[in-house]
Amino acid sequence: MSKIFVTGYGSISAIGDNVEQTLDALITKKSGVAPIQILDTAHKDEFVLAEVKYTNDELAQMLGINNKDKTYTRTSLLAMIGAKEAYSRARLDQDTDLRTGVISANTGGGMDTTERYYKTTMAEQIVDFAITHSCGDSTEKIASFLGIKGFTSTISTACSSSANAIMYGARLIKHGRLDRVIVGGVDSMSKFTLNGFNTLMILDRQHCQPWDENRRGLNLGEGSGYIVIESEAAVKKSNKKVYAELTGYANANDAYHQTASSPEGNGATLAMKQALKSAHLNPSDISYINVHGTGTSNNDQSEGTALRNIFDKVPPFSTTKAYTGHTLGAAGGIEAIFSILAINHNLIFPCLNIETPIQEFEFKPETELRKDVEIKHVLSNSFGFGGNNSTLIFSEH
Amino acid sequence: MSIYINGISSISPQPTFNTHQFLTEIIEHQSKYIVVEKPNYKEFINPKLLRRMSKIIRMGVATANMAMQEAKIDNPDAIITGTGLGCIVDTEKFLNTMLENKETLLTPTSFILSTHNTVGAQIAVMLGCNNYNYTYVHSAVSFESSLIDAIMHFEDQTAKHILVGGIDELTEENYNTKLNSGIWKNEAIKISDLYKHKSEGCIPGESSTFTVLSSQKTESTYAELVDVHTVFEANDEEIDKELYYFLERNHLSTEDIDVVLLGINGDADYDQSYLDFAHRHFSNQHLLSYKNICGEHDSASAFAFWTASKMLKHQHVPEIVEYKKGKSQNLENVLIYHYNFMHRNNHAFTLLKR
Amino acid sequence: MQNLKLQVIEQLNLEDMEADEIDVNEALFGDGLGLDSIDALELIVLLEKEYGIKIDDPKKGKDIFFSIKSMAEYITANK
Repeated sequence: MSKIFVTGYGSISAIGDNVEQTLDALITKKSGVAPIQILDTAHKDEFVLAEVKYTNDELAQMLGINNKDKTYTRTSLLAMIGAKEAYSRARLDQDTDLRTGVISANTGGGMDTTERYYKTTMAEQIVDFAITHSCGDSTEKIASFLGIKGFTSTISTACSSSANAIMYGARLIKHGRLDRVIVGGVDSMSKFTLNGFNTLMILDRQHCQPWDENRRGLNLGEGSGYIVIESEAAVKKSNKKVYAELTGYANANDAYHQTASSPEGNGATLAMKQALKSAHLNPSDISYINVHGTGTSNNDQSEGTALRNIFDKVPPFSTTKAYTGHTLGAAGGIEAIFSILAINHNLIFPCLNIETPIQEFEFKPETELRKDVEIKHVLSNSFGFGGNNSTLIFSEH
Repeated sequence: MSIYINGISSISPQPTFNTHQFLTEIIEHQSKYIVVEKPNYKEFINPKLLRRMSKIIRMGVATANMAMQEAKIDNPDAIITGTGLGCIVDTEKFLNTMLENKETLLTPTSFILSTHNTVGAQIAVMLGCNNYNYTYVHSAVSFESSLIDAIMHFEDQTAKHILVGGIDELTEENYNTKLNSGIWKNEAIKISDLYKHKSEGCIPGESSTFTVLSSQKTESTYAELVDVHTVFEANDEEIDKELYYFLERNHLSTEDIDVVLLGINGDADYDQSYLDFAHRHFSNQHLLSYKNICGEHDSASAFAFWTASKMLKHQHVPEIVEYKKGKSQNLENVLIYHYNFMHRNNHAFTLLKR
Repeated sequence: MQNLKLQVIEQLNLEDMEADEIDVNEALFGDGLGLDSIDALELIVLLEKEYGIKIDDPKKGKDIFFSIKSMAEYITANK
């Protein structure tokens, strides 16, 4: 079966309008978490978020599109910006006879727009949010915007969504159904999401401290992260630059509880184990792990236990969620890009805000930028509600 | 490599659940939208778990349980679900409460249950199933995306049994949000008149269908799943090309097809496009409908899959779905074709055989 | 405490339960009534909605919600 090569990537998040800005923020330890500026919520003064610091109109302007009728939700706008960058970088406007698809992911759909106009009376309905509400809408908007008419689909499995989209896209290529595909995900901030997570009491009102002994919870974020993956044959035909290879992946289920992860980290352990197997790698081959590391009491402990289960010696690892916030449906895609950047630049990005690393584990996350390690293989975790655990492994080409 | 449909179960607006009769007992609905015939869920789901299951989860879990029972499996190698709109009841509950209470005094349950992968997750917890678990939420091809995922697993030989489902629920509130978009019928039409009415709009509905796909044939086998193909956007000429590509890749021509299930839903223009399509390629074949049974919704094609499977097993076309009688005596190869009604995109072809 | 039982039954959607079926000393979580962490969050909202009592740390819930009796005692002490 074909190898899977990464030929492009694109992202917009709280730490950058594109990947170049994003990398700069990662290197200079600049977090995107801040007091709420964009979201119109009753909790404005209560929480911090990692928002993309543009209004919807500004996002539409960046894309050069007219959004007077609000047919583009914030989710769609963020998705299109990230996907466009990936498309351009991968030069998908060429070799259009190759079968091209879009597999995107998100959790909130167009809720940012739905909730704003939901109570408008039927007669005054200026926005037909019924059309933009579903998860599939932003994927379709990406495809239409970029002129892609082939295989398109959307995955929604909570916080593992975009990692799963990447996996599905890779398998579609391996099984000869597509030659190349834009894969990743997006999520935009909404009151629904903010309030929903608040009911679970897992939000940190201050800047989050994932992997800290005294962590209080997560900060929500928004954005998109897309990569372009292609078959060996497609890359050979176009002779384009390859940034990395997607060498392994797996999805497993914790089957423990709707929202909590098992303390033994069963699902996480299975996902990492199976991903390593699929990549034909040993745990000792991994140069760096970008952990899911949301900052909740439960996740970091559970994930740490899983790391201990798999690795005799846990390699350097960090979570980047104190930079970007937890971008939910976009997390897997954004962090896939971080994994690829780590490989291309031989960098390990630091964990921010750690004062006291988790005591239970003898292994500690990296708190300083590391430039001294050769990064060959990166493992990236994304774990979602419903026990949906996914692991991706990227390797240098 | 063959994929066998070894168990299948559907809850729909007709008595299709847990019954041996195959669309002979028909309820003559006459309403602007149709909802499922509710079974006594306590008989099929542990009553203690029901309290945290809204309508869509109950439908999903009940049909999943029945399909697995029929196929005699209790731990599938993968659980893959497709839904167009997800958990509407809980989404509305949380959203409305949030707006009414101005973002105070909100409770977690409806938020958690509104996440799209809830049905798949609940099934996994109930079964203690640690295996692959995906949820697709993409318009009219959510179920087909799930089928393609399953097919790839079988091709990899990484699965013996896969549980695949297509579910969508309808609420009155959701129905009302689309009143202005002109996609619903203006009046309550009898389902037996649906295709004669020749007016604009359709009758929406809801259903849940779960199937167990297996790598081995057993006495419970209904039919074989051959292949699935989807396209995001295509005009008539392009869809014809896609059809031929799909059939050729499965070593078939249009003459080999005995039955075609079409996604006609009562909207005059939409239905005409299907009839034109059939006229171009399948003028001698049996043409069947299914949305007069389950109503229009993104996962209606999962119900079509149920209809096709049962039909292949019984070698019989129920009168209620027979739109146009064809020439074939033997029902061997069945094609399902449909696409999204609201946006006229997301086309899907599914091929089953005896 | 009878009223509290009815409120708990409603908040947690314990459809088929009667108030008399819950013993005031019975453990609500784990083996007793089999409630879980999501139910604990629901009960936190119940306390705020019906009694104006705010609980900021969900971990405190374990002791407060041990049984109907411990809930009632907490409410009385903090109203």
